[in-house]
Amino acid sequence: MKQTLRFFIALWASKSIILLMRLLKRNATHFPGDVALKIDPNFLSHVSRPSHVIMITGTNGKTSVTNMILDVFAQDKIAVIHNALGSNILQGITSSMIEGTTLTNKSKHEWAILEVDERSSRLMMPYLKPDYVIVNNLFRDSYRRNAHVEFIIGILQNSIPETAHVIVNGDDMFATQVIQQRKHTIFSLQPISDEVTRQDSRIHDGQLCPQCFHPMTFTFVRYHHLSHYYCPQCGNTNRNSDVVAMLSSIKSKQLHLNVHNQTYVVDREVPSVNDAYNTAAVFALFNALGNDLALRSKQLSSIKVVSSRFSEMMVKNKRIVGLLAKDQNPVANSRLCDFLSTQPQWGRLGLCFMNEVHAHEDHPHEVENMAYLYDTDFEYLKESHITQFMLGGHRRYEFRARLIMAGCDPQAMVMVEKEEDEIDKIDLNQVDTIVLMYSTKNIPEGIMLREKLITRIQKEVV
Amino acid sequence: MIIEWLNPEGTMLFGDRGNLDVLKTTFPEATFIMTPLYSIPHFTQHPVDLVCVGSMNERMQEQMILWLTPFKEALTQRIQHDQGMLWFGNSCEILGHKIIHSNKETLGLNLYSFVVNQESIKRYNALVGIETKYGLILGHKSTFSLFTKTEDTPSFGKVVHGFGHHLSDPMEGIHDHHMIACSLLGPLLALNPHFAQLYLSEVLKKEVNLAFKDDLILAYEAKKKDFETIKHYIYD
Repeated sequence: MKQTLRFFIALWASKSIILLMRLLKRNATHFPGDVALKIDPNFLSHVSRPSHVIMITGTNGKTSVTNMILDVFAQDKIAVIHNALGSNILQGITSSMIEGTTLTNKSKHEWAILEVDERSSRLMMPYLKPDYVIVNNLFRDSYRRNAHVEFIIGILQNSIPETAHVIVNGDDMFATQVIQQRKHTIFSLQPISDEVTRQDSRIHDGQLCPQCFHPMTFTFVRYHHLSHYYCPQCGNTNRNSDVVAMLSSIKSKQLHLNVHNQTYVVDREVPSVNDAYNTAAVFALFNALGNDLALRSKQLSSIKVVSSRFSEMMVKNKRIVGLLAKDQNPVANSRLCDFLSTQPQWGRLGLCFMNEVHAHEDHPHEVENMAYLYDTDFEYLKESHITQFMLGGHRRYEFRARLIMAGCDPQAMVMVEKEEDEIDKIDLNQVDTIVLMYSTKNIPEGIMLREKLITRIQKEVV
Repeated sequence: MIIEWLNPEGTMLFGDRGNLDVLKTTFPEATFIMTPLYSIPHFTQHPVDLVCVGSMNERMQEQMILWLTPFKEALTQRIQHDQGMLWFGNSCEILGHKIIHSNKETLGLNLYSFVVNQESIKRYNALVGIETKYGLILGHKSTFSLFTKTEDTPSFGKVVHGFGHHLSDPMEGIHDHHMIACSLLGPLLALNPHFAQLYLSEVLKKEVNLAFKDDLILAYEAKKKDFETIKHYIYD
């Protein structure tokens, strides 16, 4: 598209803002894009496009997958345009593109690797025209923004260019719907011999065939709709995978990736089903790019899990675990509940709920829709090793009601007005592990609570 | 007691499992019939005390209309005979004359004459409070849909916060005999324990002791405080 004077004003103004914000030591990952778009709403169609654009989208795992790809590119010393430090919506992506473009609108790098919010993908993909799009999975997410899975499928089907090569999770009957006529690479994770699957979730959106609405038949259900499925009426079933991931056991630290009858091994620091899917997605991308997979498997072996998602430390004899519990997302929270229910080695657990969204404070008139609490599998927390539930903040009574409905012990629930006061009320004699469950919007508060907890343990625990 | 949920596999979105939880724990002795899509609804051939339908996606709305159209008369009779029916979330949209989505029109069950206009992308969100004969109903709206031609539709109540059938129409939901349809997400019964107790007692003609009532009331009262601090505001 022809570049206009308006575009250059937007580019120069936003670049000046980045410079200024850097001088002020501010995070220039959203506002510059916002300004550019206000000056030139078609900014993304005017900005210079790098030779290769990879976008990573889907409900869960976007950040992990993006970071893994970026890490490998960094190992190759290839500089790329990315949004790892910024937001994955239009303003964040625009800020990243501004950053990666010269004053004369020449792309500074050959590659752009961008995490893209699936709901917002329609505002970016048609303009930046990604060559490769990874769709890791599609689940229920924020009811406010994302409505339901079908809505997001429709957006992706309409937004991903027909020329793009899509890389999708073959165990996900919804993610595979974005393929349509596009070139594609499919990855999957084989059932693991000692895997404890979850078929009792409150959420299973794939019970009816998305094509013909007939009841689906399942030969294997990992969790929610990640499964081996078959529709007896229309024949809808899992597609053949190009990249098959295998774990010999759920605790195995070696992920085997089978591509064209050749097996590659990736060593993983913290093995999990999610990590296996993420790694398989990245490997499928490298396969689609025609990379040296033996080299890539070695590079992937050296990658560590991002600490903002999971952290674990011992202070005296108490374990402190930090876990990201994405607000408004019932599937991510259900997976977390499942994870916590299967950690008896951590002893008695005290759970600090911090996944209240901050919308109430930052945007006081946008009230969060708490319906997701009723889709989250809090029933998994009925385990006897979970001995304390610390509930604070504006929504504490809604959390309490839902936890009681789920069968959790009301006597184990401690109510405090402010989330930061949860730490003061934990009975340290009753817990071996304290789990801080923060959301994407309150990671700094999570860190603050952890510091407070460390201080208290050091002071009070003998 | 018999409670029937129509197409639970396809109409259990937006927290509606919470409605089922409330019913199951309040009535542990009840028989719950979960009727699959395209089966003959139990209520059309047998006595059923309460029929429930939950939220669904827009493609499922079309399927529900196809499925239930042959049973339209049974639905009408059920309403006329004061039998209980609850339509949660966007399920109420299929009860109208038609649903307009982009350039496509889908004829509804036509029990009422309203028309539903569905956005393709834009979503209307708001904290919503409705004054009804059961008191103040609380919840959220997160919807693609606005209703027009609602003049002949007996409404559930008048919104005192948020928006109703339409941004400019303060009436919300449907209340016709013992049939209630409300587009609030919540789940309605869990978020509104006073309403749940009153309505269920009325429909079942007996004193109902709602499960988790005290805890749900605490949550309800806390939520009510939103109305003191939150402005009327619609956002996407």
